[in-house]
Parts: sequence; C-alpha cells; structure tokens
Amino acid sequence: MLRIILFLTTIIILLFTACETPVDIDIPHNAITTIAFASQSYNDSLQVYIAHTKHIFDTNRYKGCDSTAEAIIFYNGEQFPLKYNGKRFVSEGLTFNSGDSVLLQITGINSKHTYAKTVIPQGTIAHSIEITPSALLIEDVYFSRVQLCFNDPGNEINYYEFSLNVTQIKDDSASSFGYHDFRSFDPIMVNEDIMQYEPITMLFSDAMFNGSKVSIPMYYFLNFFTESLQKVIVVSELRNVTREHYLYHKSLYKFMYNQGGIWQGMTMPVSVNGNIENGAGLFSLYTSTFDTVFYDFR
Amino acid sequence: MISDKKNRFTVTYKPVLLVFIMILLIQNDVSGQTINGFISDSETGERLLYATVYDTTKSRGTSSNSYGYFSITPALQQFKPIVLVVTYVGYINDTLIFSNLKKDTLVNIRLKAGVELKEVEIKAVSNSGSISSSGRMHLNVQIIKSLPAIGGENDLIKVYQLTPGVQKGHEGTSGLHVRGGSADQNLIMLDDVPLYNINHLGGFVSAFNTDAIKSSILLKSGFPAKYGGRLSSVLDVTMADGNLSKTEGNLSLGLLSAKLSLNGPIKKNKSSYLVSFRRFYFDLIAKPLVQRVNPASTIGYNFYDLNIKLNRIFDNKNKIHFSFYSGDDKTLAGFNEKKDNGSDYYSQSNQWGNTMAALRWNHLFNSRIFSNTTLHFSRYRVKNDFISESTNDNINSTTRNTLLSAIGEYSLKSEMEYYINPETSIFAGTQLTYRYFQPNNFNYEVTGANNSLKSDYIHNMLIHAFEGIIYAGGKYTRPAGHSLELGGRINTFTINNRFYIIPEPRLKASFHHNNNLTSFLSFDVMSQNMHITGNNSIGMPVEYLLPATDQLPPSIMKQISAGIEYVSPLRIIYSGELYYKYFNRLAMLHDGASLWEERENWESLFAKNGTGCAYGAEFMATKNHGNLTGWLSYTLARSNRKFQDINNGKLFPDQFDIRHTINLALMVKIGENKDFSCAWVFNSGYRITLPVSKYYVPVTAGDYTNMNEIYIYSARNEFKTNPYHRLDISFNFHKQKKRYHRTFSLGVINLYDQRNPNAYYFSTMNVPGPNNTHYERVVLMQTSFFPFMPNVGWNWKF
Repeated sequence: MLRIILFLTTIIILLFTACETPVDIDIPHNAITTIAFASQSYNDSLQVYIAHTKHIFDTNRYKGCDSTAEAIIFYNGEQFPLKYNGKRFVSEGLTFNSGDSVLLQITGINSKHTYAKTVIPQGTIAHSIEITPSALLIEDVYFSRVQLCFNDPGNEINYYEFSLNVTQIKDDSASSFGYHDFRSFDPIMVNEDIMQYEPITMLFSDAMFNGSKVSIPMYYFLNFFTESLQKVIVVSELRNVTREHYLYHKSLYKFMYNQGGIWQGMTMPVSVNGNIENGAGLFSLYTSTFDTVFYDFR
Repeated sequence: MISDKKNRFTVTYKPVLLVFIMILLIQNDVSGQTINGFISDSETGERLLYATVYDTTKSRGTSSNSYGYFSITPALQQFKPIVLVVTYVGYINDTLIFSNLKKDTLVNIRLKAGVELKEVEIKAVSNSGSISSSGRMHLNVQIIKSLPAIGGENDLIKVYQLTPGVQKGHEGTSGLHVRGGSADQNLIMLDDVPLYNINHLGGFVSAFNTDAIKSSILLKSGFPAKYGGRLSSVLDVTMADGNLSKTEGNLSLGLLSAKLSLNGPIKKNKSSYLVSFRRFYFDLIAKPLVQRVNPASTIGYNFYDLNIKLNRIFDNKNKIHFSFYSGDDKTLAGFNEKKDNGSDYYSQSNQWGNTMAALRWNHLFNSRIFSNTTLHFSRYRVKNDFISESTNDNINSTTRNTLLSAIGEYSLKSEMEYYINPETSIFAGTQLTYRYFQPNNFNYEVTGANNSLKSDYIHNMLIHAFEGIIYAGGKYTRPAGHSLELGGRINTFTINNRFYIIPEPRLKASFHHNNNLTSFLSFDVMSQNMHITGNNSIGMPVEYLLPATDQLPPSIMKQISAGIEYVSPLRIIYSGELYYKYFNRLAMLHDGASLWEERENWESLFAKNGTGCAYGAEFMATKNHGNLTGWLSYTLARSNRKFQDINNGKLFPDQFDIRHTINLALMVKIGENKDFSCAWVFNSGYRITLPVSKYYVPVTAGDYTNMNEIYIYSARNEFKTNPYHRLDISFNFHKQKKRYHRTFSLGVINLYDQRNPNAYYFSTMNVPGPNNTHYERVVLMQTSFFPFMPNVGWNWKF
C-alpha cells in the first residue's frame, strides 16, 4: 500500500509541479524540558543520558549530556546520587534485581525536578533460534529466516524486544551487524502494526499467546552467500521489556518512518511515548537472554 | 434523545410526527380538481427538477420533485379560468389556462429553452418554489461547465467548493468540508445511490462526469427526512435521462482526459438511453516514455468513468429508470529484468473505484399520489496486488501480497408523496439496506528459496450490518407564503447482535415577509452508522470504511440554523445564514495510528466518544440575470473537537477550522460566441500541528553514536497555515458548424502564480551570512501544488 501511495504521490507531483518554498510561521519558544534516557539491561552498570529540549529552529544538533544536571536513584528506600563521567551519569556499585522498582529524580535546568519510575520485568526468559540462511529473495535481496522459540510465562502481559547481532568472518577479518531490516508475516508480528515502519528490532507483546510456547518466524536482511565467507556467528537477544519501553520504541519507529521522504508534512504527527514525568525520554531496565548459532563454511 | 440498549441513551422523543400528520389530515381540503404531471424539456424530453408551478389565481404554487413530477389543486373561482405559470431557470415561462376544470387533469408540461439559454443562472431552490434557499444550493451543469477547470476538466465538486459554508480541504482535492464537518460526513448520491469515494487522481478530479449529469443539489441544513446517513451534508446528483426525440453526442478533449457521450431515443418519446465514458490519458503517454528509458520497466496510471442510463415511459403513470455507474482508478508499476544468473520480476498494481446500479420505478396512483421504488447496489473497493519473483542461480523465491478493502450495500427503498391540497403535502418512505464491510483483507504468500519454505497468512474480515429506515414528513404552506416542514426519520442499525435506534427529527419553517424578503429557521438531527478512517485530506485511497459497533457507536449531529434572503430591485439575491452544529460520539484515529496493516482489534485504534461543535455565518450575493452572472460569498466559521484521549482531553480546532472564506465566481457573456469566467477564492489558513521543540536520544538502547532527532509537537492543530488565495480564469469560444457545435476553452489556473500551502516540513538550509560566510538555518518549508498552469480543452456537440 505504501508503495502505491508513494507512486501516486509521485505522479501528482510530476503532473502538477510541486513547489517548495520556505515560509515564516511564528513558533513560540516553549519552556525548556529535561530529557532523560536510560534503556539497558538491569545487570549492567546504570548509565543515564540527560539533556534538554531545543527550540525547533535551533541549528545546534546533539551536544552530549548536560553535565550541570543532578541525578539521584531511589532504590530500596535509599538514595544513590549518579556521577557524571564525562559522557553520562553513572551509578557506582549499584545492582538491581528483576521485579525491583527503581525511581530516578533529575534536577535539571532552572532547578526543575523530573521523575521517572520503572519496574524491572520479572525473570529472564530463555529462548532458542533456528536460522535458515538466505531463505527469502525479495527484489534481488536475500533475507535469512530466523525462527524464535520460547515459553511465555503467562499471568500478566509481557512485552518483548528481539534483536540479532550477526558477525561474519571472511578473509580472516570479522564484521558485525547489530541491527537488521526485519520482515515477518506471522500474525503475532503483523498485528503489532509496526512492520510497515521497517523496524530494526522486533517488538511484540504476548497478548496473542499469553502463557504458551510460541514459535515466531521472521526474516532479516543479510546475505549468507557472500563469497569467501568463512564463518557466521548469529547472536540473538530476547529482552523482556517494560510496557513503557515497548510503547516508546514502537512510537519511535513510527516517528522515524514518518519523518522521511515525500511523506514529510503529509502525515499525522507521531508523538514519541515516554515515561519521564515533567520531561521526555525513557527510563527503563530490562532482562534479557541470548542464544548463539555458529556456521562454519570452511 | 438517543435510544440504545446497552449504553442506555434512553430517550423519548414524543411522537411529533404522528401529531403532525394528524394536524395535516385535519386540515385536509380535498375539494377541487388536481392538475398534475411531469415538467420536461420540450426538445430533449429531460425531466426538469424543482421547476416552479404557480397558481396566479390564488398566488400560491408548488414545485416539481426530484423526478420532475408536480401536483397542484388550484383554487376554483366561479366563471374564472385557472392560470398556472410554470418557470424554470434557463427556460421560457409557460402559461397554462384551464377553464371549466371539472375533473383531475394530467398534463405533461414541456418548457422551451429560453433565448437566454446559454446565460448561466444560479437559483436557490426550495420546495415552495420561492427563492428561499435555507441551506441548499442547486447548481446546474451550465454553471459547472462555465467556470475554469483544472486541466480543462470541469468538476462539480470544485464548483461546490466555491459556495459558502463549503471548504475544500487540501489544495486541489475533491474533499467537501461542509460547515465544520469532515470529508467523510457527506452523503454523496448519484441517482439516489450513495457513492463511497468520489476521488480520482488523488482527489484532483471527482467521479462526476459533467457530460452525464443533469442537475445537483447540496443540502447543508433543513434536510428533508428522506435524506440521512451522514452528519454534515447531502449532495444529490442526478444523471441526465437522454434525449427522447433525437440522438445527440458530445466529445471532449482536455489536458487530462477525454470524454465521449451519446444519448437519444430507443423508441421515440417512449424510451431513451445515455452512455458516457471518460478516460484519463496519463498511462498512454507515460508507458512508451518509461519503456524507452528502461525497456524492462512498466508504469501507468489511468482512471475511467462509465455512466449508463436507460429510461422507459410505459404510460402516463409508470416510468422506469435504470442507472449504472462504474469508475475505477488503476496504477501499475513493475519491471521484468533478465540477468546472467537469473531474473527479477516485480509488479505492483492498485485499483480503487465505485460501481453502482439502480432500478427505479415511478408510479402515479392517482393525480395526487406519486411513488418511487428503488432497488440499488453500490460498492466501493480498493484492491492492491504485489508480486515479486526472483531467480538467482536457479534459486526461486516468490512473494505475493494482496489487499482488498471494500464496502458494499444492497438496498430497497419505497417512498410516496401525497399532495393533499395546495397548502399541504405529506410524504413517507422506508428503506432496508444490507451492508457489508471488508475493512482490510490481506493475503501474504511467501515462498522461500528452492520452494523449501512457505509462509502463508490470510486475514479476512467480513462484517455484516443491517440498516432499516422509516421516514415521514409533510409541508404546510399558509396562503401568505409562510411554510412549515416537519419530518422525522428513524434510523435502526444492527451489527454483531447490537441494535441501535436513533430518531432524527427535522423541522424547517419559512416566513414570507413580502415578495422580496423571506427568512427561515431549521433544526436537524442526523446520524451516521459508519466511520471512515485514514488521511482523507490527501485524497488518496487510504480510507477504510468501518461500521459503527458496540465500542464505536453511531455518530450524531444536531444543527440549528436560521437565515434571511432579500431580492433587490436589481434582481440581485442577498442571503445570510447562521448555524450552530453539535457533534456527538465521534471517532478519530489515535495519533499515529494506522490501519494499513490488519488488526483484529481495530476499534482500539480509535479515540471514541468525541464531541465537536461548529458555528458560523454565511453571506452570499447572487446575480442570475443579464450578461454578467455569478456570486460573491463570505463565510465566517469555527469548528472544534474534543476527545478524552487526544490533546490531553482539551478542546482543539478541527483541521479545517478556517475562519474566513471569500469566494467570487463570475461568468460574462461576450457577444454571441464568446464567454469569460473567473473564480477567485481566499481563505485564511487551515490548522496544522507543528513541532515546537526537539531533542536527541539514541535510536537503540546503549548506542550513543546514533542519536535521533525527536520532535515535541504543539497542541493539536495549534498553528495556522498561510492564507490561501487563487484566481482562475477561462475563455470559451463557441462556433456553430454545419453538423456540430464546437467550443474551444482556454484558461489559466492560478493566474498570478500564488504558492498556496499544501503541506509543511522542516529542513536545514545553508544561508548567506556576513563576510561571505554561510550558516546553517532550520526553515519551515511549504509544499504547494498548482503554480501558474494554462489549460486548453475542446468540445464538440453533435
């Protein structure tokens, strides 16, 4: 459908000679808002990126973390100030457990407080993958098939994020590909309504298979039949993520897709979800498991 | 006021309708003889809709209905003949004198086109035949064909967009936003049959081929009870019947399309036909060009419209009409490439369009009772096929996707009009409709390399709905000219074992202060049993038509409007109208939600139970007579929406909340063989949501090298685009040849090359700074269509 729309729009543009001109519309300066971002495994040392919003006409792009902010973690009834390490605010010696509740407080610009709370998902969920190299050929591009299998624990709704890291070794040198253009025609994924946005990780909930064993076929873009390929190592990661993480990344994929190409300005605005009170961004910790598949072509 | 079992909208409308009918019957004066019949064109036999029949003896009148039928019982005065004057815009008045009328008389009146036939006129219509418009606008084909047209293709919808209270939506599209309503809230009917999508070419051309149209009427308020099913307006378009006397033809060539129409008698004065076909050229031009550049590629786009009408007059009491329309847009893109180690084949086609067929039977029970029975079918569907076949080193792989989205209905309607006496008429009708929805059916079929893997996914959703309508009403006209129209409509809707019953009372009162001044007041309740999603404003076939369900109940609109109309001594009609509308139980897609992928739980994508209000004032000055005709109108309007789940529950302006609109349409006759027309439109900007600030975060967890720019948006529709204004002009040169009449049209769209807003986006530009430096600046870019655009067209009538 999107291709059709693209095609039609192109026709119309060709026919009626679209014109583009800069225009002046007065956009007022809204109050500056604190941005916080931390999305990582609960096992890793906590790193929080803190920044603030800029006016839409501001030409200064990303300038790194706002070192003047103050960040404190409230955990198990104690306070743990985060330290700025030159790149991000980090915790020292702070460890969490799955199921724990963690509160982040940031004192940012104009001494305003910003809060975020996350509950680390319960337990880790083991999974396995099966790879079928170059299983699908679409428009001269090979897609390999990955079959994800795991047991969903049931009870409450769980949210997942699945990704692949593929390392190819050829000519005795290795190259890694962390994120891939995924496709899936499985009802579970199709019903997530994100396939059209060309996601680089697969986000889904267990709403359609709660409490049961599930097997989801997916396709990812990487050609296994490259000449002189010696070895391929595929590492899959299945994250059990928070609802906030799930909604944030789904909306982010939609947002990124809508920003590009001729769709600019013609689509409905997509607001990126978040869980930062008085601010924007995401503070979410997840649990994850890995599976590895080796292919040796020598 | 709404009755709905689950939601407990318990309401008890008092049986206003029954009381009204009783009042009418009490007043029933059945004395006197009735003169009735059909009013038609003397040359072609085409029935003339809404023509006025005026009884000069008692200074009262009636008008023909939408089938050209009239019935009048004149006042009998001893030794005095009855004098009826029949008038119709563009025709010479006819005077009929009846002396010693002793029984009901059937008379078929044939009006002769006046010498001023080519003089285009606009006339507001009402059932009383007065000039009182009361939220109605009637445009005949002559006006539509006279005004400037994009690509030389005259368009009915584009002309209605020039009338007060009607916004066009985005630049160039066929969207109708009537009095703060959205584009899906218009009931658009062709020969009594609803069409669900009237867009060709992304909305730049509508489905109505002007060569096949006889007349049209747009109702914005004061809706007769026979109309319903949408919230904001009714556009009722009538196809021409075809000449009963001789065969005629029409051939038109424009920049975009060609049209050929033929009509004439099958059996003289008994039956007639009309066939009209229009086709878009683009694929015929583009295909060879594309294949010259890349022989492996195919590209094409076309649309067509086919209108067929057959009529048969059996006797003075029975007539049958058969109407058929089919219109489709089709895009095709693909390539077929051979390589050393294989081949790639790719094909993508998309088709969308309407098909409708209707069989109507007009029957006269007697001189006072007219009936019409209609059996119809209507369907709109979008079909998308994608096939990709690749062969590489003898490894085959196939992907095949098909998508079908459709809505269809079968309906039987029967209605009756009873002309009790000159003051009073009543009508009643019933309609049963079966409607099916296939919002988005998908079929994925993926065959992997060497046929070793297969993945099929079929998603079919078929929703059945039943609609039962009963309506009745009547009109009482005081001798002084005041009139009261009361009506009611009961909308019953069944879906998934859920039953809705929605009463829709209608009232319209007209006050005839003197021969030059009338005023009116109306109250309407309308309901809509379906929701149309998608970005209607861009006119693409991305709308999905979905039924009201238990989670998304039917929407309701209530409107009160009042107006005044004054005819000056110079015969210029000045009119003004105020309206207030309240919408309830609206549905709207959540931010960023999309139905482009199938969803079992599609209802969750909607924000529901929204409300809205729209109010405004419309002013219009119309000149109907003389060499210079046209109108000037001004609309002041406001339209808001409120949803619990959108814009944090706060009130926000509708996207087409356009405060000021000025329309000017002028048609000038220059001598015998030339005419000139122009249309100028100005409106303040429409509403948009823009990002106001931005921030940067990693696209993926932990990857701080890949930061993405994220926007924070303003409140919903907080900003206004720049104003829109455009002047289009057109010259028509007519020449009468021995065997045909030729018209050559030359026009310019957007004469002064105004760059009007269509869409906005942010971009980064390098701009010159001091001391020969350049600096980066973020700018808001505006996309515009339709720069200065000349167009030509030829028409041959034979």
